[in-house]
Amino acid sequence: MPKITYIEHSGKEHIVEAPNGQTVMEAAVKHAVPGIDADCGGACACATCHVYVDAAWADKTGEAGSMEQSMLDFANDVEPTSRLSCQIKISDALDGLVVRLPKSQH
Amino acid sequence: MDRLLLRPASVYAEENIALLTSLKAVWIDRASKKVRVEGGRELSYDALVLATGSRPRKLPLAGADLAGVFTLRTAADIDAMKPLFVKGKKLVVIGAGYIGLEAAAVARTLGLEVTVVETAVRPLARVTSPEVAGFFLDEHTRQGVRFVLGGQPALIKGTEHVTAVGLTDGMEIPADIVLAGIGVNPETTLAQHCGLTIENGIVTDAQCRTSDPHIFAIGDCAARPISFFDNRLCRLESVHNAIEGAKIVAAAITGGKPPTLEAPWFWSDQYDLKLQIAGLFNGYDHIVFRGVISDRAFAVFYYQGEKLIAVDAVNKPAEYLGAKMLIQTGRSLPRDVIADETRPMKELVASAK
Repeated sequence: MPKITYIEHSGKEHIVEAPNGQTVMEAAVKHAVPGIDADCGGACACATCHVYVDAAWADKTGEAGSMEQSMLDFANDVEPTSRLSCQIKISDALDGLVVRLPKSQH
Repeated sequence: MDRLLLRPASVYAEENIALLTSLKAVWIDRASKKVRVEGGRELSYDALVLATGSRPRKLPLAGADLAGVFTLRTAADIDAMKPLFVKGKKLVVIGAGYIGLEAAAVARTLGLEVTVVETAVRPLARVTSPEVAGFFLDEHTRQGVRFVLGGQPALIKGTEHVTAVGLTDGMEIPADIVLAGIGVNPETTLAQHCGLTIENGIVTDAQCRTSDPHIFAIGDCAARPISFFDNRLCRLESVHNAIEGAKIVAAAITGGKPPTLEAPWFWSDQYDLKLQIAGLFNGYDHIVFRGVISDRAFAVFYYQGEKLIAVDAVNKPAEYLGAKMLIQTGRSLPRDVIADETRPMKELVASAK
């Protein structure tokens, strides 16, 4: 199964194995990675699963869709590689993906 | 099914949480601070949280127990309904709230014949304005849903399985499946038996504390004062309310930092439409449009005097999030300013006082 590394704002790392098809948000929530709230459960309705995709992986995860981009516009501390992790589906191509978490989701 | 769980079972063990499922609490002994569960065992507590949820209302009609008549609350409800959701089958939805309309959208997409019966003269009457309700009525009609507005169901017909819904005016609507989406009742039995204050839900203060200081109540079963609504007691049926209540209680019990309160928020997905709602629209006296309905992407802002109190945004996430931010920080924008689509929402929000 692909491995995903989540780096908390404090620098603490969590390495999680997740099946293809699950989202980066779901894998974090299921392993209780702190810092991803995902209040709406993945409906792209709350913008509380904001992550920064590591620059080396930004091409592979693709770009935010228009709905997602509009939501991101209102998230805190947005950077060029900001994404909503509920919109990134895990696949073999993302094995090794590194995402960093913002200071706060609210 | 695993995807629907908030957390896998393993997380509770890792966090030292004893999760006792398939076990019914039957009695709360407030004097000795104990909960009795089925089988007679007693669990003692320093703090007790009631998160008992709500139950869908059943149709108070003859024939409501026939096969093919459903309410919608649990995964088991969906499992039971799913084999009947086949192209060409006739579905009658009773109640044009969010549940009813979302079910109608799914059914139409799968090719069922769908009729929605609603006692009010418009759909979504309890939860939105006539303008937004009219838009959803038009969208569903365009998708082939038939509406009987102002229709009063009188009985469900059939011998073993439902065959039709009869209305009080004699109209009969053939049905293979009937889905009642007529609201929920808070599950307050335990709280009632131990004498907690109930008023359309278990009454709590802003910390989710009931009339017993050692007992908290959160989610659909509880009513708490909402600061964004003049501290009026609200029993909100929403994901946001459930999560926020849990955070408030966790902070109150552990002495941690209380969460920053959010303006109540909701969403409803129907066809390719994402409706996002922030705030509570009750008591509005003006509405302002941003965008036009015919684009199928627009926001309706609700004002009470000069104060922005709520937004309904259809395929307009920036307008939703911007308005939510304004409402929860107690800011507003003049009505003519918020309507100005030449200025991006983010810029408007930044300029608000």
